[in-house]
Amino acid sequence: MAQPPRLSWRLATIRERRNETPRAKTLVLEVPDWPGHLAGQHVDVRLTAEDGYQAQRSYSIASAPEDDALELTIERIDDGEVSPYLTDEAVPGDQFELRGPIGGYFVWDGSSNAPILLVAGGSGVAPLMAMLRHHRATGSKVDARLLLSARSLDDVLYREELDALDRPVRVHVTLTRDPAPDGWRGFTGRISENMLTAVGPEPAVAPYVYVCGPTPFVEEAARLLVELGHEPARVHTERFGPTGG
Amino acid sequence: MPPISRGFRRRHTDVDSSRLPPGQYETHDFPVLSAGPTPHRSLDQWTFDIVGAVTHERGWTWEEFQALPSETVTVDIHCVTKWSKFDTTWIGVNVDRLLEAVQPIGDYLVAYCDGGYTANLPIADVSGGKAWIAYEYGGEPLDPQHGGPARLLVPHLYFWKSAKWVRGLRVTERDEPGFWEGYGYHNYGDPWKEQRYWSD
Amino acid sequence: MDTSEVHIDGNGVAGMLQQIFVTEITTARRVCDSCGEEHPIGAHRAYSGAGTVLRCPACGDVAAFVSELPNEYVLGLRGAWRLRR
Repeated sequence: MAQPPRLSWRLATIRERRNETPRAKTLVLEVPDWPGHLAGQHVDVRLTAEDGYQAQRSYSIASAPEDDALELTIERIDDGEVSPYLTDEAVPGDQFELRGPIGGYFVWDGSSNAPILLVAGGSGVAPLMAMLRHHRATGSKVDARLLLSARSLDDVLYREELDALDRPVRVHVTLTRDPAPDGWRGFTGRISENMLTAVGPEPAVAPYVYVCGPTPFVEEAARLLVELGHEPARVHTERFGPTGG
Repeated sequence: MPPISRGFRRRHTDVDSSRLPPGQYETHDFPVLSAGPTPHRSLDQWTFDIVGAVTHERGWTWEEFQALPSETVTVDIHCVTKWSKFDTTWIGVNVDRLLEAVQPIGDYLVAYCDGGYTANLPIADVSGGKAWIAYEYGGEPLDPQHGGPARLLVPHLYFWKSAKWVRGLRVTERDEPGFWEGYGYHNYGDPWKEQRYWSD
Repeated sequence: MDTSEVHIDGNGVAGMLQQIFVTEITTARRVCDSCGEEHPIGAHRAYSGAGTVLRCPACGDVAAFVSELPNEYVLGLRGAWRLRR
């Protein structure tokens, strides 16, 4: 893939802030000379305080390669140091350093016809959304299925956009917090073998599988997928760590 | 100076800076850092040994270890990744008491641990009330994430020397670099002299 | 589910690795010198201690130590790393 060999820190400026859910916002960024990216890649973000203190975190790129601006979706972690700044404090015009695009392992570029199965825990849906946006932008015919696990309907990122996606994309949501809302006809509870079997596709068609979310979620999902018969080498994982991105 | 992000600051800025070694920031969390997965050692398999250049090698089972007189200490701890945490309270066995039982001959030791981690120290730095084998933190049994069942506690040095999941000390005649000391980190690690890396 | 598990994927430290190797490294494959299995670096498990440790996803043995010092990186690599030209 074409990209500059040595990553350097660039200055990103917030162009716009968009509410996604009560806990998450999308930042739309201007990044001069942005080289482009592939769906699934991420960026490292670095903040410097006036006293020189620095904090660095990684965020998945939520926008498609075709989009005209880079978008990151940040979920606020309550006792976090960086996410509350990005969701609550930072406004259009504010700047931070950004390095990327990064990561060749967790990438879908649509060049293969193989079906894709995307499994997301909470804000882990961000890089998978980039993949679905790329799928839509290129008019892809690839069979693409998303299984998204969220606490409640209010926590489902990109809900309207996901609802609007049509064949060959299929979106399934499981809500883990009791009780599910009235009239809910999707899945409930933590992901399970039965749920994954119902979502498909079956391992025999050898889909590429992408799993993203907090480490414990990804561990469990990857274990279930391999147990169902998915080839481990085709299961790509992106773990956020113990609590989240 | 890199570009400043307006309005960004670290979480706690009310700091008693006389307690902070150079380059450190105070945290109220207890970050979990690890070189590998959390080992899970059942207490009936746990032993602590002191071996190597000693007059008598000695080992303790968990029951024997718990029966040793313990001390409660409240100390500040300093991680090389720049966070410091004040007033952490631990219960453990003073290493002096353990060394008395073995009568060391060598001047150095390597702490070795479940999971394969090691850290090296001069015997002098775990003697004279400077070090403990700690099994309780904050009034509770030490959590596996923080090194439970027991970890080495040497608060006057950077916290990578306070080896988690410690299973023993191997006393040596020569100083042998441990896990991080072999890959860029300072052999001694005094936070007050900011001895983080090889080049310091 | 063991929530004490704190690793992320090799993919999560890709930015740092790319600075060092001056090429995208997460798709490079490594043959483990302990268990013999081959996996992409992106699938290895990254732990953050003082520095970073990468471990084989199959057997858990150390694949790399990476310490970021102010003026240098200090690396220890184990196993056979295969970087396409």
